[in-house]
Amino acid sequence: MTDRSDVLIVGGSIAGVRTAEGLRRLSFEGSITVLEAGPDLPYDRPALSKQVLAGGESAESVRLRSQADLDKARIELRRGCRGVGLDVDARTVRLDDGTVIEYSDLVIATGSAPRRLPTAPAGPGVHYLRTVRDALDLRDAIDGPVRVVVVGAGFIGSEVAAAAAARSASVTVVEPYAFPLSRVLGDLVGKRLARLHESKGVQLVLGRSVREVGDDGAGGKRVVLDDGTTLDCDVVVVGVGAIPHTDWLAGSGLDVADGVVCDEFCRASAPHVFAAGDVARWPNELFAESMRIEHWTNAVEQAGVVAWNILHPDNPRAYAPVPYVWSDQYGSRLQIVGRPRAEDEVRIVLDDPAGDSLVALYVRDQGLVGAFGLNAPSRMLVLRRSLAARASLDEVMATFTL
Amino acid sequence: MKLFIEVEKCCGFGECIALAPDLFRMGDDNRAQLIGDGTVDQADEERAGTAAFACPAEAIGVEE
Ligand SMILES: Cc1cc2nc3c(=O)[nH]c(=O)nc-3n(C[C@H](O)[C@H](O)[C@H](O)COP(=O)(O)OP(=O)(O)OC[C@H]3O[C@@H](n4cnc5c(N)ncnc54)[C@H](O)[C@@H]3O)c2cc1C
Ligand code: SF4
Repeated sequence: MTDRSDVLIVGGSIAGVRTAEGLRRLSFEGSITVLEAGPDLPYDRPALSKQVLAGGESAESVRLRSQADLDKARIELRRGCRGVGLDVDARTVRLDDGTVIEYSDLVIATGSAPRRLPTAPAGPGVHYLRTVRDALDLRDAIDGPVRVVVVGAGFIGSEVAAAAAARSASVTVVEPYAFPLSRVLGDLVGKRLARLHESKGVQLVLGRSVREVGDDGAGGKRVVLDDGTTLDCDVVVVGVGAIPHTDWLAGSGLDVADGVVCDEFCRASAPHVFAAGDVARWPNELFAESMRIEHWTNAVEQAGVVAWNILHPDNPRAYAPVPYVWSDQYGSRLQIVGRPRAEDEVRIVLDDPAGDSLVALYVRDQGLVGAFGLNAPSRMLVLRRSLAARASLDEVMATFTL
Repeated sequence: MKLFIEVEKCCGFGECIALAPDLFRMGDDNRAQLIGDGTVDQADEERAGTAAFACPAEAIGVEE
């Protein structure tokens, strides 16, 4: 069977649905079909490790669109439909049930999946977190005074630790680097984040990685670290990064290298193929760097640019955002703007223990490249704008001495 | 037209404030706030709608 859609979007989460809606906002009248492998209507993924784990939010309350919303925008979302092959010459996508769909323009928005630890395969007592199902299962598992070991002190690991601690679990976090997020933010800020965990009674085991996850012989789990230490627990949660969903593009001839490789207009290496969200890699002119960003705001912003570029092939917009991440942990808000790196010069420009707020600037080659903020949203807003405008370091510093 | 903010969703990105500083501001609780009660004059409706759509956290709602 062969179907046709003017715009075909593979992946029905935020990047896919926002691209579809962006097209309609730009008055596109053609047909739009969105293929989604999973069973769900689009939902708020960041809420999974925050509101859903912490509180009693239901699967419905994190839903972003109803079927009626999609119908009204004339977006055909086909759930339970997985793209398994792409032919860029015939301009067709093949589905797992054998259906072939022709497109005029294709958007790849297949996102990413949690990186699996070979030493900790998912199974009873071992959790990974990506879908609403995963979140509800994990919430059930951490309900009560259980012992939880979180592997990885990145954003998701830290949020899970905070949520579990708030629900009276006893929590240990294992992190291979010297401090939480120190791989990106350096030790100075990492130390501060370590204090945040410890102030809420969460134990950190730093500079250690997991050698093995097995059973403790008493119905629980035993995590063995690289130095031989063992941690017995009821629940293991692994949060060690994500890998882009590109397997289904094998054999298509499309350029794939840790993501779908695009130009600055989010166009992939074949005509009429675009990518948006976690799966896309493109050169960000503002930072003169090839990027693939696994964050919500990026998926939203990139989707808007892709929608524009589909409709304006002769007048495309380069996608050059200031990357933005936020995270909510232990009642604090963390924000990162730009592209900080551990090896940058770090300048603490605001440190207010009373308000528990902190702002750190990341400086490279005499210029501002990024910033970290703890409970300082107004400052971070200004810094995001400064980065977008490529303001000089002097100008930026001046705003902090006022 | 009337705007409202679901504060628990707001991720502090500040797009609303950048697009419509007369309608939104950043609050001390790390979340955006409405300036006034959220009622939007007819002349500003399109701008307010754009700000609502631009919010990546989908925290801004619009009542017609
Ligand atoms: C627990 C958690 C918390 C997070 N918190 C934050 C946060 O606080 N801040 C932040 O900025 N970001 C956060 N993120 C990251 C953010 O959710 C992602 O960046 C965002 O979801 C990316 O959107 P996307 O549409 O590109 O990809 P995804 O949301 O991964 O969606 C891709 C979709 O494509 C579907 N799909 C995959 N392959 C196929 C195929 N072959 N055929 C059809 N469909 C397919 C998948 O089922 C999925 O629905 C968090 C992520 C998680 C998991
Ligand atoms: S755009 Fe949305 S997320 Fe950003 S500050 Fe405004 S309300 Fe909050």
